[in-house]
Amino acid sequence: MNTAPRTALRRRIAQRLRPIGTVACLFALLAMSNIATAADTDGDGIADELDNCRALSNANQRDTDGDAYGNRCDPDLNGDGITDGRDTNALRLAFGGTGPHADFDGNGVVNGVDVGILRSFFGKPPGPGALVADTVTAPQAARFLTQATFGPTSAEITRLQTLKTYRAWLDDQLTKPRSTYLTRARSMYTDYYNWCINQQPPVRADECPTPIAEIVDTWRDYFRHVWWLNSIQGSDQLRQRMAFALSQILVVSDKSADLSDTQFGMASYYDVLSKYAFGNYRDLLKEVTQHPVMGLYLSMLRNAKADPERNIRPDENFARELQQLFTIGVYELNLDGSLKLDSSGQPISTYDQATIQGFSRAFTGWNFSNVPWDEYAGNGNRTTKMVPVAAYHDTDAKTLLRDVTLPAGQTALQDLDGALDNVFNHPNVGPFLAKQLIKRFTTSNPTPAYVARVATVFNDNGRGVRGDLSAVLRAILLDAEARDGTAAVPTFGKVREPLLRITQLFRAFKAKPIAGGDYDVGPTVVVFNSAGDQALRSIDGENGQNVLGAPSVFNFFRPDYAPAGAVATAGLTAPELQLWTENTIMASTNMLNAHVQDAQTGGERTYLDLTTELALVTQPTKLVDRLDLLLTNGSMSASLRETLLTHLADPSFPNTSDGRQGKLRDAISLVINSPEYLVQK
Amino acid sequence: MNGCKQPGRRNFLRQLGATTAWSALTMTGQMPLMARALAAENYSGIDDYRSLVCVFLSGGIDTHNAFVPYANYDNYASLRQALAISRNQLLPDSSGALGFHPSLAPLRTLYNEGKLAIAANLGNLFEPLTASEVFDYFGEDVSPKSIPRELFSHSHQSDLVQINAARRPGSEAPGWGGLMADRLIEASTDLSFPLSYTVAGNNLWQTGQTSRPFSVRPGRDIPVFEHFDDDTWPRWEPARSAAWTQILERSYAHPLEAQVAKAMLGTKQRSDLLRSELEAAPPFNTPFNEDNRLENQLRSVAKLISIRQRVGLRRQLFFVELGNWDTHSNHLERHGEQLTDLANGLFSFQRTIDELGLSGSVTTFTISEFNRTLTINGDGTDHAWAGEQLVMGGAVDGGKVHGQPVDYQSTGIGQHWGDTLFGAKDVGSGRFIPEYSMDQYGATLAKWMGIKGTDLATIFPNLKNFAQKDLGFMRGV
Repeated sequence: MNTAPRTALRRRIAQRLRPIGTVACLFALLAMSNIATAADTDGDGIADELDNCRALSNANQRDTDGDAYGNRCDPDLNGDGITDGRDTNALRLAFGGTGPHADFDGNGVVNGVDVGILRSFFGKPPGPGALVADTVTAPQAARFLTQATFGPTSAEITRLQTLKTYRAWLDDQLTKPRSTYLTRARSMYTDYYNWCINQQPPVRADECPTPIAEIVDTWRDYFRHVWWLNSIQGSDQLRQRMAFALSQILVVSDKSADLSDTQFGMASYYDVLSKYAFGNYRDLLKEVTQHPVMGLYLSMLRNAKADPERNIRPDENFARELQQLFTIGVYELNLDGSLKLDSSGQPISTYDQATIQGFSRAFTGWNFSNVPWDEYAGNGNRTTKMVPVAAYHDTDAKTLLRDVTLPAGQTALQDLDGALDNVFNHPNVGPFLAKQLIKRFTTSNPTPAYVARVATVFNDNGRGVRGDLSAVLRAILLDAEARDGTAAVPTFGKVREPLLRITQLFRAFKAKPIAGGDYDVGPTVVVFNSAGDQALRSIDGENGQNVLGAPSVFNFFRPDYAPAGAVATAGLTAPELQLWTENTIMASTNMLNAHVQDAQTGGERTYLDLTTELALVTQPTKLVDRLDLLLTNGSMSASLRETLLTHLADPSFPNTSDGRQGKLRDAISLVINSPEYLVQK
Repeated sequence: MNGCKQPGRRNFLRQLGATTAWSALTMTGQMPLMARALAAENYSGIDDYRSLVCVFLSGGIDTHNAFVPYANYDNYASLRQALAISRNQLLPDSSGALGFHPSLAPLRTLYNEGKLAIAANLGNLFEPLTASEVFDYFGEDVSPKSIPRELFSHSHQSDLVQINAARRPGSEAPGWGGLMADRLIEASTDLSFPLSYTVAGNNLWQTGQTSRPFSVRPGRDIPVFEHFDDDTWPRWEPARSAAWTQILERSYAHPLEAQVAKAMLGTKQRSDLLRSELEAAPPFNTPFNEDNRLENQLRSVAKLISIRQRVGLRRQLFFVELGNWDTHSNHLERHGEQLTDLANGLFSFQRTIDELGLSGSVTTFTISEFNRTLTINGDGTDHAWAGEQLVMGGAVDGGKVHGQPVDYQSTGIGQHWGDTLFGAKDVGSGRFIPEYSMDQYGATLAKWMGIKGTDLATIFPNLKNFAQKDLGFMRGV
């Protein structure tokens, strides 16, 4: 069923009919007084602002027609915005069946209880908004956008507030057109080529790139140029942020010699992550497994069946990391992400060497789509799916996880699907992935209950589907723990990733890409960049992180990293701090400060458009308020505020344009290098 | 206490004035009282200079193709099949028993000079094991023996090779280098300078209970916080820097904020101390190639060694890393390139140390999470266990292989889980149980650094399970 128009209709009706009662007043009061603990009118453990039925308890948030109204408060079966005789007729037809839409209480059968529920709504609109007014304050919006995008902007904060709810903003994001990578990277290449060959006086032919039709792939950094453009300017922020998170789980990296000259391949791989960001994890796993870039990175490409006479076995690389890093991890987990222990208190291995060998045999017989098995790999197509080659596939039976057997005689594709089904259906995937994704978006130290809630949604999105990433993403971002933050869990939050520090700065202050801003883009193409050693294409040399550029398949940092000392002693993790050394600390600070303090129009470094903020310099508290909103989401401490105000009044600033610029730039520098900012909460 | 480190001392006192004595000292993490509390032995009497340079070969180096049995070549060739290095390309040692990979000519030179030794048949191992004990463990997941968990996993074995003890998820067990540094700091004459330096980022090996490495970027001077320093242009920069320091020095209740503040303050203080010292380091005459990843890192190590007296250090630990050894495919070409970088990097470093006149005082050694399978997967190899490591320097009993190399034969002697076994210690497809433990290897190096009896047992908890406490590759201990 297509629910989109119906949802939109409902939103309009709900707005028109919104009653104003004592509950709404109470909620508004709570919101105004900025009390951090969220109200929960029906006491079902779901904060009102997240609850899809606020006045009726429904802890499971069951919503079978996916219209954002929980079944418990959605007896409007025909979706016309009012509960009436037509819905009674529909209920009559469904009576005695299993629903699901007419099973309002979720007991598995449409019965008298459901009739009673419909009756209580008769003549009224359905939905959570029928009882409580929706409001999101600007700081709340900024905080949400810090978690869900590459950084809040004034415009996006306003947009979220206009849409009224986080849910509506998420719905809206699902409809945004997908930013592309390969298409854009190729057109940037062609653009530069055309510019280059038409130079007057002509440049030497070998100084221009080879015509695109004549190359397999390129070493030129167009993929990364496109990544910065899409991450900073793309309207599909949520999708791109999810793709970035997935790129740190389903890791490939051009640090591998096999991929350094494969930048179109990297773009194509990122298109896959981006395309399935709201899709199903099982589908994504299949696309990733069949992608030649992953095939090259973890050597599943041209992995041949055993040749026992020569003691040759299949390659174990992909088989191992698929399990250890992409799906289940090495130890059995409870739903809440904690380790299952055996009777002697030891963790229980999920797989052993024999399992890996089973998978390694299942993944035999895949090759480039365009060149025979034994021909030069350099000509292999890196942007279209690998294809099976029967002669190299092992057709014997294979034993996989939990003693599941793939029968003998299957094709390479059947075995690939069977192996992925086997690993995807392991109970570890939900908690494993939930924990990893939570750490990329909201907090390094989720409570077990938060992990369990997200894992539950991974296991079943409420409509019987396992692996629905858009539902998982909603569950991560709308969870009471994510919304309440440190008010609920004092250690909530995460150290900002190095790349996200840059994107946030660029977005918050409307950074301007520069025409011809790198050595191999034409003057008609604008790109974000920095200068010298800080060039964005190789920024990991400074800060340790670059998209699809991890040192190994273990990503830039491990999810359980804890710096020795107080953090480790408290049993907390801070994955991003694995990158923090004297070096990277100084380099990151210097790079960001260079954009704030030194970048000018016409320079080679992306500059910030600070017009709005400059107008506030003469009203220092307003300036600090704005920086607080955009950078620290309204959570700035009184002491940081005081330090900023004191500095803005420092007598060393002359009362000139330079002095005012200096004040503004200093205030930004001080906030973006403060611990309060560096830990996103 | 000697008098040639006055600039550092002055800087340090200035820093003390700027902050509090406590924070400056804990930032270096190396307080003498803390060292006394940790050490069972006394190290204050040390008056010579020694340092260890750890070269982490991450990804799992294949040593079967690096140090090939030259006399007993046929077994090797029949197992390595298409990936075997042909015998006439190998560079034999003087005894004719061992053939170096053709990319390792510089290492054979050092070996023949007696400055390089091979330590054979090493790996993560808590106590001696037989194949049947390991098979029982594979089958049951439990064993009466103590067996490293998650054998063949990069992350788990990388941790283990640096800490010699099982690590619980989420906990940071101290590394054996860090535990040495915690104790040896007592021998320093200026406690404001860190003992450990990394040119390859954070690592477990140098993380002690109190000591942390200082991180240097290969081939670079130590930078400054460019917009938060003492420049007087623009006029308001001193006020900006002061405001930032004030922000960092505040106390933070959120543990991650507290950690971030501490890391930034520590960076400011430690880098200010070291910067001018390092800039004053004299240039070297030994040529070097900055495009070689390893050589570039080791050149920075040599610079840090050259300022040892200025910073009052009598013991130092260094960490460098050469990655990309995970040759599951395209093995011959990639492995050859890797070995070239390794050989040239080590050779140029040894010559630089010779130039400093410190040949007998600096020992360089390799570690890797595991060796690779002796059998092949077509054009590559997979994760295995026992392998060889290199030890280099004037104090090394070089020019020989220490320990019994991995023993294997060309035809199977049995099967396990469908895998052919090629030796008594093979647990499948040429994955061999090590004969010697990384505890024995580390303890041999630590002993040379001056770590004494009780502390050796503490730092290397599995040493007690092995009869041989010293693998014999260091002279004069």
